Amino acid sequence: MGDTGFEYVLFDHPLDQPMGNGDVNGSLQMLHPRTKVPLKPTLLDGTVVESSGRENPRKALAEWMVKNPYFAEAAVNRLWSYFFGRGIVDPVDDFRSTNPPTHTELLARLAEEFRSHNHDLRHIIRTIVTSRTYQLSGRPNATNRGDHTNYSHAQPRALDAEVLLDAICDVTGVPEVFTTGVSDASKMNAQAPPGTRAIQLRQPDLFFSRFLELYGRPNRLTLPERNGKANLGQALHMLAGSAYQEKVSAPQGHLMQLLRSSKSNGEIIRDIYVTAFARVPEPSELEDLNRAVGVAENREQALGDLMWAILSSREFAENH
Amino acid sequence: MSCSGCLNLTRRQSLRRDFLRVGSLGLLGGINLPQLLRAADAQKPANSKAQSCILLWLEGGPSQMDTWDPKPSSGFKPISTNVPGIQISELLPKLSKRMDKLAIVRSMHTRGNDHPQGTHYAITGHEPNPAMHFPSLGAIISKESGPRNGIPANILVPQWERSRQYEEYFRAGFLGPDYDPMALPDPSQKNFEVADLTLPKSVSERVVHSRQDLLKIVDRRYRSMYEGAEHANMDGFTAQATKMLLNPAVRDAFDLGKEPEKVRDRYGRDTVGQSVLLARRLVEAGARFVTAAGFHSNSWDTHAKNDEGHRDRLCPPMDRTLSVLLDDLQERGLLASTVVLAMGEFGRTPFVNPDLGRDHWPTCWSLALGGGGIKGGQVIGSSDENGAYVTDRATSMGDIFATIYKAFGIDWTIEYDTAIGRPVKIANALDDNTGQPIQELL
Repeated sequence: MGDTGFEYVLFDHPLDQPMGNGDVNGSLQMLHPRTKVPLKPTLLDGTVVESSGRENPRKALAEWMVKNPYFAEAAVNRLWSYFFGRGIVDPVDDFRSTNPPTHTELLARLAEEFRSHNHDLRHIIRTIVTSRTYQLSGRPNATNRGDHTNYSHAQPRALDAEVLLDAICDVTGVPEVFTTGVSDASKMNAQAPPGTRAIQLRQPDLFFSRFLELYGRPNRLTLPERNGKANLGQALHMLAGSAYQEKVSAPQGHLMQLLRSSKSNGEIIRDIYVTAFARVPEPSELEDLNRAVGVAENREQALGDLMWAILSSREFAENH
Repeated sequence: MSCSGCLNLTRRQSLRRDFLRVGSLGLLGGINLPQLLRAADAQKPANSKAQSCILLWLEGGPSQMDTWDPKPSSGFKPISTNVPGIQISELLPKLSKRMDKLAIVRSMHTRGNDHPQGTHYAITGHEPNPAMHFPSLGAIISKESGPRNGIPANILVPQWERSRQYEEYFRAGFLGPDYDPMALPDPSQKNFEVADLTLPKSVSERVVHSRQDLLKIVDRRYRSMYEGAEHANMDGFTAQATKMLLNPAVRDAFDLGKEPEKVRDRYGRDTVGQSVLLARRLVEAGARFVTAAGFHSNSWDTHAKNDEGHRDRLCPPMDRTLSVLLDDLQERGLLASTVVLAMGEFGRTPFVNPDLGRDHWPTCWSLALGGGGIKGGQVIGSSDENGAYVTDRATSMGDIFATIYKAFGIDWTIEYDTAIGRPVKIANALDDNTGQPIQELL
């Protein structure tokens, strides 16, 4: 694991820089941790990769992987699960005869599409998101209410950590600053460039973020790669944490700008709704919220509380 | 919903599982009388007293011969203790007067020759496997015992600042985030505060309630339109979090400032002392398993100058803090219900290297445990004249886990199924055996 250096062969790394690990020298060679004898990259089937100078051994690994008869099915199934919240084979890493796909022909067809398009991820993503299935409404009707496996309607699911954090930054108007946690600020890359969004972090695990930690950040060393399940830490953070508190009341933030304008409560509520939900409030919602904010002693506090409620709502935090 | 219906279902499932278990044992021809008796015994462990456990995590791996298992190869002398016949290293004078409260296991035999593997093995009982997230001892005890008094069941203090990978091993793995430890910052720091446990000043109890009212209005439309398990999961946690934030007792449990200065001094003002004091405070308030990991920046990994390290910077804080903890728990009437476990991830080599250090040695090492009904004043197992190999009662991590589970009244023979149905022992001994409680300790 980690500290032994065994995994470093799979890491993205600029070819002309040393790996920064005693067990790996500058020419991308792996040395045996104890004997320090150079090791040759070896594929899972035992084939030794004869590396030619500085060519990244990942290339040989990729070429070998796509030849595996299960690769295309496994890859498209995983992509499918990103968009629908469950795989055609589910859990996505459990392909076996006693856990069959829910839609055998669909999986085979997608896999074939993937193979015949040179394993082009974009092509599969485009195919999925332009499908009728993906575009179905999340509202169940009388006949499909009980269905959770046959894609009769979209299943609401929690936003991924990065997406939720970026959305909170958008609504509050306060961007997140990502640092690597290295206290020596003079070090290179101690901070991601200003304006970097959570979804743009190339190696998210290098950056310290309590929010991403709580909501499930991708983990590259083990499976499953992400666990975004609801937990107590998320709830505490929502009620008392900085992402929800400080961003809402930040002086340069969206809410304070609205308060400094001459807009009425109703206009401000409408404005926040459009930013957060991409819809205007319904008349009954506007009426109830306007009343609740109107009777409050402190207007700034009341509208801040409303923004908190919007960020904490399931409509905001779920993909639906 | 009829409750009797739920009960019936649960009972039917458990009957079916028992049937399958007995059936499969029978088919394999592996069933014998001792196993059956053990299985019956395991159903209701007698005299379970333990409610909580404090793990003093001796990160880096202490030298067995310079602590609990004195040998001629050590640079230090053995001293007698308050238990006739038991000697420990002269580096632990305070603990020598409290030997009646602790049992020593001198025959630990484990896996993992480097810190990541050793730590993973010591805290989960399993060797690392890239395809698996094993639950830690603390997560399993939290799951089996459940939370008390609104205090999170599983807590880790302090968290690692850099090597976050280690923290991963202390988590709940495939059991899910419900049983992950709540990781706290270093309590010896002046500005120590637990994140997200205190409402911001601008948020009074009244504000919390008015926010909930606003949230109800905002969510009304969505909840009437969509149905999802996501809502229900989060709603439960939100209710629990609200209770915690509005309950001063929960906040107080995390507030070291509430401890008298004299007590804080007794434990030691360093990270080791304050982490253990916070652990005692949290256990008293209701936590089930607290890992006091104050040795992050003062590691027992003495590859160079082993003797100086143990004499000057490692044994003194352990001797002081563990002694005070045992006294304090006893004075508060908590020792009988609190298991105290002091261990690292392995021992150290019986020979000294050219840097006057000792290297990693999982083959034979020592740990100490007591409290929670575990009988102190005993030595389990023994090592050879150099402290190099186990000569009697090789003990695996699974045996230690099983002992602690039994102290809690947890059935140590349980296996959890992963999401894909792979069974995983909660007390995993070497060679895929199930760990067994050390009988003399309970």
